[in-house]
Amino acid sequence: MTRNEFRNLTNDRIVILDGATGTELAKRGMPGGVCPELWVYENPGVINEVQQAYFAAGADIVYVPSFGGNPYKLEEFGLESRVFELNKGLAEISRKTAGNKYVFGDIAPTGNFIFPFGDVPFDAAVNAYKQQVEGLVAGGVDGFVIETMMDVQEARAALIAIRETCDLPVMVSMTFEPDGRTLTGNDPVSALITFQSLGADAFGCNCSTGPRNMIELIRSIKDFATIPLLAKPNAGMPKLINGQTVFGMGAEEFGSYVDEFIAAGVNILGGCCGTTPEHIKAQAAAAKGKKPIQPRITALGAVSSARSSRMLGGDQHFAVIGERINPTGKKALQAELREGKFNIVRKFAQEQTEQGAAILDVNMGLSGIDEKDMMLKAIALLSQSSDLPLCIDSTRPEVMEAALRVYPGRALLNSISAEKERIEEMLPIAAKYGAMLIVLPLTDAGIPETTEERIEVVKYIYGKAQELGYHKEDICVDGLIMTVSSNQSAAQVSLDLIGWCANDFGVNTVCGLSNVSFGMPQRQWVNNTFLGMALGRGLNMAIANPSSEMIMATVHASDVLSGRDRKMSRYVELYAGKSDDIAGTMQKSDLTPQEKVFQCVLQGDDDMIAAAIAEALKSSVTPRTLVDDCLIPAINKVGDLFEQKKYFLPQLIMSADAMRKGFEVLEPLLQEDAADNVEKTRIIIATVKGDIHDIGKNIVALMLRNYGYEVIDLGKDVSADTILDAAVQNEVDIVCLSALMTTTMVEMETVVNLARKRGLDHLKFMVGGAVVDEDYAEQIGANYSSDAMSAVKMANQLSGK
Amino acid sequence: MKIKLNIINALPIMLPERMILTRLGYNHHLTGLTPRQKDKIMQDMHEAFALCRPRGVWARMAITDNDGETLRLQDGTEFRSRALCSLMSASANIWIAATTVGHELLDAIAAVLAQSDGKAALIYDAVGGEVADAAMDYLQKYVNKNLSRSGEKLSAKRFSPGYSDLNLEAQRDIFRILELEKFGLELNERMLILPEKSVTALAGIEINI
Repeated sequence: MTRNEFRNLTNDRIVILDGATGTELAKRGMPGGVCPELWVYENPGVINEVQQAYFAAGADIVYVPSFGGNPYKLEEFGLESRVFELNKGLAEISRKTAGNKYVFGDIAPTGNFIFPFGDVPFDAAVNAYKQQVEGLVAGGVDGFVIETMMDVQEARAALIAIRETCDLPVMVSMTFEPDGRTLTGNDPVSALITFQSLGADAFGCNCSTGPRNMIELIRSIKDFATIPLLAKPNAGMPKLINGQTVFGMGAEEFGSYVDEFIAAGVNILGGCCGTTPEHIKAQAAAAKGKKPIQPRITALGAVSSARSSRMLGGDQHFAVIGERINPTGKKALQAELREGKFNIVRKFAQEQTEQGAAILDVNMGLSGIDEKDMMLKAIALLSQSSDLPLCIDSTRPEVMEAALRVYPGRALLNSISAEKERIEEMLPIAAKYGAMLIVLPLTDAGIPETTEERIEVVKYIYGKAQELGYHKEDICVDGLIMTVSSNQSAAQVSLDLIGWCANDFGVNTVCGLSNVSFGMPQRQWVNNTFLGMALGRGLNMAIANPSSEMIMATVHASDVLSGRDRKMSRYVELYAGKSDDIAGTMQKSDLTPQEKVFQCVLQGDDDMIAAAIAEALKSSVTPRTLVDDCLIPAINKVGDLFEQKKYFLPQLIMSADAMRKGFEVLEPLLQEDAADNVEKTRIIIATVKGDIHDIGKNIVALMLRNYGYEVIDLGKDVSADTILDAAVQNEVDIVCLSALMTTTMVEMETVVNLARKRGLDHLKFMVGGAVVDEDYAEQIGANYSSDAMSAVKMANQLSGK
Repeated sequence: MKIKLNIINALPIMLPERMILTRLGYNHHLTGLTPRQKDKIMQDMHEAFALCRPRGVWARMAITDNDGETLRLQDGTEFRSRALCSLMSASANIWIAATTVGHELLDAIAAVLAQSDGKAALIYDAVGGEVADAAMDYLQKYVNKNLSRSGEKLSAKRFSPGYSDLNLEAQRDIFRILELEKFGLELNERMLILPEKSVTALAGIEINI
């Protein structure tokens, strides 16, 4: 079967697949715990019977029983040396049964996680799948299904293995949970974008859910699909009955969903867990004579990562490609990369994501480093730590190919020019992996000076890309901005090119903003004005630094003015109420200066308390009044709210922080009055020996400090001797001990007993921690505190405050 | 025979916001937050989450003997625990797993504490704890999904050293089997795994046909 024949088949009618195989084999005697592939190979009559039943029910395509036929799965049964033999044999058995119907080789998960999400190298997975694919091709399969995939990267490895082996049709089917994502977090739209650009002939879902959820899923991706969609639902949602998983939906009900599936846009239907030939028969009968909805689009301007996607062009928001992960001109990043470190890369990724970048550009071009190795490491890191799609930025074909091969999504490639090497070497690589392209209108002779010349270059590159299957939606033309300080007409040439691309040629446009102002003073004005002018010509993407508030605000405002920000919802979300911060509210409020100080503590506003106190002092309120009438009543109220559970611990700490900051302002003023110059009570605190959990201890220490205690924090895993030595040396009366584990809390008793033994009877012990309770405290002769607030109260009580 | 280790370097965990708030004492019916407090708390939560590197490793081993007192595994490892033996009574194999959020979050907690930002330290700590738990939940769900294809499932409950009568010393065996030192983890003399936000678990693999 050719890929065209497959497409024609799905054009004509709803294609029917088979239903569950494993349970049918079990019904016919396959014992538990055996290798199903080997058992079927040795008992061919059984699969023959199952497949005949599915064909008789109306299936057009049945799967070869090769679900676990990859080397990793067969290795579990010691059969890794028989991968080719078993797959070839199973395909031959199925092919023989099929007659003029079709059999597709079944490729499924290896049970391993693939780079960058796991430790199996990507090419090891590709090569493993190739062994299986070669066997199935030799056995005569008509096509492939990559099914029940939970990880987009593993499915990519399988699809690449098939594409590098043969040109048969391939369906990719993922398993989405009821929450709409795979267990590894892949969403359907991103996966669809990834696989249809990588050469899948159909995409869809199987297993995990019943028909109802799958109809919604198919409907949600139909508008983005350039290929037919498939659904192979379970017979309803599984129920656990007497410890066994049971699928309860009958064949008639199963078949009743077919019309809704067709209306949602499905082209290929079948069944998964719990389905039988009866279910497929009902499905086939319901689908008979009905026409599927063809894919609504032929191409889609979109990029994807494993967990998100971004549509480009048309009425989509302007896309900022974050430019910062590029060592050019960044000394700190260069130094890190030379040391093989990626902390700054991670930080830039996080910051640009928060600042609103749509895509992250990644460039590892730096002398003295292995660019390919660093690019692969950067992709691994960014695929794990950021959801944003990536723009692979390199001038070297080997770096670009390595990056596109392992990138778990559809990347944007920066860039393809008309230079011979780029056209001949890089373009076919980009096409193989289905990357979107940034087209750079330059040639081996350099950068054309006029707009007309650049237009010709764009047309030439697009023509070459078209030969490899690219559409206009798949490219973005770079305006190629040169600096105006050396040629003042440079901006105009770029603007004209952008205008022609956007309005006449009909492609996306992009530009790097900062070049235009090189060598100019106050570059941001030039950059931003150029951005505004380019937006007017139709620019819809820019490689820029999203930390520039001016650029991002211009972009957001342009989306409103151009209608791309529908109902202005993003603009309003980003900017509404910006000026209504706490400071503004408080200045406008009718509160007295003292009330403002009180409110700062009550609401934990440590940013505003110093200003509020300054205002109060200016209006002649004394420092002592502020302490007695504002800070202390406020923190007491916070304590009450905490006890009533109206406040929780972070709020308590925020308020305590605000109070501490207030005290820091007032303390020097209070000390001018001798009566207020009282020595602080000193307390020792430690997590006991053997225990490394110290967050509780740290919070108690912080709270005690905020309440005016001098706290000597000895840290965690502290021995009894060290604690008592410190107590003697620092002349303290109160010792706080913390422990989280039942195995370590016994150390508290050791400390208390040792203190008695050393005659330190004046010491008062406070204890706390997850496993400690009042009874235990009493038993060892200590005082119990359940949380930070009660520790403060206990300290007050013990110190006589 | 060498035990096969399965490693996931980036567990796809979503921020378990509700669980974190609950861990911090937030009462969903009583506690109220001002917009500023909410912003600050959410900001800390997201910062901490960005520092988490949830990773997981697991192995499957055959149970060679279960006499109700001691569970013996294919490599000779023994876990003495009646409760564990009872949990494994329907299992021929055991699933042994560990998850961690890594070092970076712990370093960040120390850094914010050094700046006296107790709120951030507390929230970072809660995020780490909940993400480590969510990572183990994910791993369990993922493995269950895979097992279901071969007619198996994990026992409904999972067990950890320190639970019931399974001595904390069992942590040493888990550490050795999963080669956790290669994972950047350490085991201290009190059998606690470092960095702190790391979780180990045992579950039975049962037949589900």
